[in-house]
Amino acid sequence: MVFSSPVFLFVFFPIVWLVNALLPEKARLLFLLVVSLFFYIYGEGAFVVLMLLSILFSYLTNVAIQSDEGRKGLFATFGIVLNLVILVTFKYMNFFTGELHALLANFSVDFPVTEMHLPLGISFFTFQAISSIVDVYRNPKQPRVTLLGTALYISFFPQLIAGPIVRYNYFIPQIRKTAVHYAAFLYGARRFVYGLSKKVLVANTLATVNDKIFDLRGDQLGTVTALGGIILFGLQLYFDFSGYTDMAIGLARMFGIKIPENFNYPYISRTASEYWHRWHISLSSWIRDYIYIPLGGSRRGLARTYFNLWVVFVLCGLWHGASWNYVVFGVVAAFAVSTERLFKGFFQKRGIIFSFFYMLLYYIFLYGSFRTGSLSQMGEFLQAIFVPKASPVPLSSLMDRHELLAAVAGALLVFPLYPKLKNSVGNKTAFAVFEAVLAVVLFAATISQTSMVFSDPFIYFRF
Amino acid sequence: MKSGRIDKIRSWGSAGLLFAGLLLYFAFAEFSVRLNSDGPVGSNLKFVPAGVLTEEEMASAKKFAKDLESVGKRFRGVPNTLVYRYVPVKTDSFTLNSTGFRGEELQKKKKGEFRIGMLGDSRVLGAYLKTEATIPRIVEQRLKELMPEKHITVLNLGFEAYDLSREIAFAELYYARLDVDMFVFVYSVNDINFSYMAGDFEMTPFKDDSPFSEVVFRLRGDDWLSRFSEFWVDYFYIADVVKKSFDLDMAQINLRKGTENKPLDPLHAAYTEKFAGKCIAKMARTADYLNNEKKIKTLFFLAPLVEYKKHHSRFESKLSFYYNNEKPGYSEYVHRCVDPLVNEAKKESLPFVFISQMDIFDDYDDTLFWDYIHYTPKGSRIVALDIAKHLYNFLSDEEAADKSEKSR
Repeated sequence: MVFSSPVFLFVFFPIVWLVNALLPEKARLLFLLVVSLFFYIYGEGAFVVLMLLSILFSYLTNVAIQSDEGRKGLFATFGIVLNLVILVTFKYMNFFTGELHALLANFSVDFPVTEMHLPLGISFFTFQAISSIVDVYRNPKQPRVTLLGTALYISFFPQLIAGPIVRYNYFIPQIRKTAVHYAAFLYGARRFVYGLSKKVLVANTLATVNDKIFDLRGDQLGTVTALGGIILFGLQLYFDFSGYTDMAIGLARMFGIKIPENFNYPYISRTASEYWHRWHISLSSWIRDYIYIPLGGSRRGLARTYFNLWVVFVLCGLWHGASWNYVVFGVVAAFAVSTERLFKGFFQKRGIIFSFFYMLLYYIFLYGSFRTGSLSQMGEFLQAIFVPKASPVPLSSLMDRHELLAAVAGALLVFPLYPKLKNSVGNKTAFAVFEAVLAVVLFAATISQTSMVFSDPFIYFRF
Repeated sequence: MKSGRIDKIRSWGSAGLLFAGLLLYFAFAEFSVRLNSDGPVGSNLKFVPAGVLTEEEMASAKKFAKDLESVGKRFRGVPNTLVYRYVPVKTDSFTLNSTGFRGEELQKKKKGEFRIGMLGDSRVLGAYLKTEATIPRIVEQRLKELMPEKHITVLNLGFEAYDLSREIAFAELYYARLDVDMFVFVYSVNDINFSYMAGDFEMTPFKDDSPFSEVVFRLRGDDWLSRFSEFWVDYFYIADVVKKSFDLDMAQINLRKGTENKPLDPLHAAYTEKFAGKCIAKMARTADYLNNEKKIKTLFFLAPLVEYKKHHSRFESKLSFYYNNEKPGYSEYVHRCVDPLVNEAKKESLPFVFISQMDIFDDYDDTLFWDYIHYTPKGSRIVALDIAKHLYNFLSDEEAADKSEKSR
């Protein structure tokens, strides 16, 4: 059930919100847990068992840590390994067995390969489960963990499928009192509508063009078309994912819970390092706090620092998906960030023109590896971009005026114009009215559009 | 300043306010859906009844469809009409031209134009689709990209409920008027459905104005709950939108599970044996007639059933659910009809391409069907690109053969 689907908008959400408001406050957490599990079962059926296992492992681990602090390291390791077993089995087993199968085929060795289903949001809920274990491990003196709290933290439906990845210590204190005030509700509703419009009006529209571009064969690609494809995909990905995040933040606020921000205008970044501070912030900071720093971060000498950087970025790539493309994605990020670190002085002195072309180059490799279906297709795109060639299929022939409008709007909205506008308007009441009217108009536009599209899975659902 | 709480009902006033807010939400959503909707439930698609066809048309139609008693009924759309096909969402309404098919009035063929007539059922017509998302239009665009020197146009000659016999009859009836260089026949589920139903239903199990039986396709229930829900669906577009999307979201069911290797009932077993032979005979006769007597190139496509090799998306379940519950054993029946047909066509070297939707759809996570049969824009595009690929290969081979013939 995606947030932009009619079932969610007109059945699930209104019923859940209303019942939640009518229930006594003590019963609300249990109710939210039940509906969150229903939300997952609706999409994944019996695979909810995996999430329940993850909840159980984390809860028991945390209880053990708090009961016997002397052996907290052992318990934490055990709990993390159990969660990683779930993740690796269901997300990476197909990749490993497929590669092994292909390798052994060279030696005429054959074995049956069973396809493993990839459950929705598995990367998100296992990472949150690990977060709960690490947070309790680091501070066992915090209030006793509860099964209800742990379960709701891992399964809370607004951020269950595609994040943001919320920290245990950020979430748990909030659920002790989930009051919803008018101002918070209206903010949440507005934020949800903004996210919905980003997804439906911009990302979905651009997806149509990108599907056409990335369906082209290598010999049909020209420089402009291939480069246009990468840029448009960058816009689509941002509006798709940040749209989902806005909806998640908005929904949670309407239930009285704050979820951290996940994006901070990533396309104004002037370096790849800055990009990773602005893009999918909850994942970057999770990896920084739970992998990079425990590995030693930058405290153990230059060689170790670069080693750590490469490890975390390749893992970050693999987190996105089990295929060589995502390994390349991680390698591109690691290479760029390491280079910037190595030549820090050089990058600091460069102007905006250099930054523009440098980041464009970075996006070509980063999104090229992300969107293309295979390394060979990625090669075709790179060749088309770097060996100038007229496009046999011009980009203009692949876009109609709606798609062009979405692309232009998207290109403008990646800049922080809205906050600037808000700050420049002196009359706060007038701006509040403007925001309300904007939300109403966007809601009408997205609803009428949503009713035309019965299924439009978010790109990040598959992670 | 801290605002008051919205989630705490302290008085009748606050309860009323909450209720009013909820009503406003639904009313506004209903208004928004209606902004972009076609109209009330229903369809104004009509077929020309048998009596309206001229003697010549009837005779011509029957020439290639002797084995189908209902050939004259619902033969083509009413010419010169504006058509919308009901869906709870907007599909651009389209016009039927004077031949009763979708699209603009046919122009005289231009010099150098290579005209392809694509015949088929509602999938080719593009039910639920804007014109630019229909298979003929996408095929045309793709072929123009691939063979810019050939000036290819593709006519949409698809219509609801057509089967191979109707397609062939139409090709015979209008080939000269349309001045086509090539006919492409895209037949899919109707032949198999008709043959499957033949033992239990009349050959034309349709009601007067509706191309499909309400009972079969809307699955209306007789219980009070169904009547209650249908009431909302009939009067509120938003309810219909929800119902449709809910239908598409049902749990995954393996289409063929449990029926493999099971014997079919004798009646259907007998039909499967006849099916391939009948289709082969029709295709062979048509290809021979059109290729040799009329010098029109011919290519047949069959894209019958949707199945997936692996868990794909939640939507397909609806399709599976429908077939498993409404037509138990149907999937097995299709396989036993299609497999020998594919083998026989290969043996006979017929200009025949089997499109395995199982193969071409497996790479996509999107919803590819609106319902049990009809494609979404994405599904339509995938099929169209596959057809275009085969057509391109076919035309390239033909061109090469022509060149070598000339050089000799």
